[in-house]
Amino acid sequence: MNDLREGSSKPAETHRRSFFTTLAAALAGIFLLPRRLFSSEPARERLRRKWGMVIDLDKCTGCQACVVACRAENNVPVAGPAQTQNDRGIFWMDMLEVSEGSYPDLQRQLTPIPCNHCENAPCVKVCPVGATFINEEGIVAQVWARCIGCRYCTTACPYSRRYFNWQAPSWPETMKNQLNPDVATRPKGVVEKCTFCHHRIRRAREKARAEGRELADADVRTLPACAQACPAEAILFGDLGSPESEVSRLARSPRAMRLLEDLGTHPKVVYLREAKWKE
Amino acid sequence: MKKWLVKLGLLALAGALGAAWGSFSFFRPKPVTQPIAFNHKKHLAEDISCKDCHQHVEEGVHATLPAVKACLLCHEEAKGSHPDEPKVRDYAKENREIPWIQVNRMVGHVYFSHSAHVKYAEMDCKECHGDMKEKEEAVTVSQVEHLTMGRCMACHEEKGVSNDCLGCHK
Repeated sequence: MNDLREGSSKPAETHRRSFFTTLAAALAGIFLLPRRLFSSEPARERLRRKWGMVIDLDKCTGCQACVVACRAENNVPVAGPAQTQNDRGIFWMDMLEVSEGSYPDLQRQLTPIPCNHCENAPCVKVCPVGATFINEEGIVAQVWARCIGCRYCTTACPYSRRYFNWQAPSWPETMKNQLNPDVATRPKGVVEKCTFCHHRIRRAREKARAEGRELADADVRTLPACAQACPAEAILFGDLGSPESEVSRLARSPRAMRLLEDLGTHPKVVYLREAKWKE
Repeated sequence: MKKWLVKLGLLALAGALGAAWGSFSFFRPKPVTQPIAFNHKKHLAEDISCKDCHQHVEEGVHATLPAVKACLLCHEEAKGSHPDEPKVRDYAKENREIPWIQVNRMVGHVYFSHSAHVKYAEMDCKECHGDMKEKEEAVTVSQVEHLTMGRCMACHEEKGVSNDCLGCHK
């Protein structure tokens, strides 16, 4: 009512709105309160994690260790120079160059971009066969073999983070015995993408279980292969669902931004960068 | 004219059935020959549990095949009259492991942890591997009972375990 911007012109409207807001809050409170009070499974609620990643561009040196580590960890096939030239290379973690400014003040920012694991993922919406989905913990995943190769998702993804296997996966002879047994290889004709190294999360969880404790922030801090390889600790991983985790704290920082935020995809990969170049 | 058609149809049907049967037996895993004709029934009757030989089922993802030193705990001296029994000591003397042939293999896109099922879910080995107490011959083919995704999911549902695809699929 005493809002200077709109209150003076429409007092009745504001009054009504605040009444409805209070009413809605009260109703929501009534519905939520008993569940909170009498919840018999607090441990199960704790399981509702939302995995997210924070990439500090001010720390990133652009060394591309994350790109290489991801490739080795996830059995990403080597497309070869000719195919890569045709934009048919596969990069679950890619390094994009963003140029800013013009000649004398030209700057380039190398930006590591994995799948953004959007909460409102366009790729999931367009998949006609339900091969891709958002799992219980917010990971945008795919059952490789269920993909029919229609490539709607590669088109729908605003970040181009999905890759189609144009040819049967192949590796140089010397790398064939280095394939990671924890990650299934994908056949020709299906789309593939970053999985936030979910196999590593599973392993960390089993380790914590064997030690009789909950999965802690410290267990997952540099869990994905890209984060583990980063020499500058620019990539951090964690639970965006719990407000006190390190990634949540960083995501609230004034330096935080998400890629193409205005599309409403709600990415779970948060970038940190001082807006110094725009000054 | 019609009789001729019926005959051709029957012939085609027989051919198709034959081809299906042939390909089925062709693609079925071939039985292997184990280095020692191990008798599960006899050993399990001796109050030895599965975990004594297939170690690490409670700690790790995989169950293991027994090392020769585990056999020697009992077979250091000659025991019984089976012709394969002295082989154990021969392998030990040559400082070699018994070259058991692994017959149970998980498919490449599925992650299955023995510890999660045996230790935490307290499942009995025979729920998947059948009753080995009755098995007298050596294991020559996969000893896992129709492990389908439907069966995994039904049990997960019943026990209140997550049926998230990423829980088991790689």
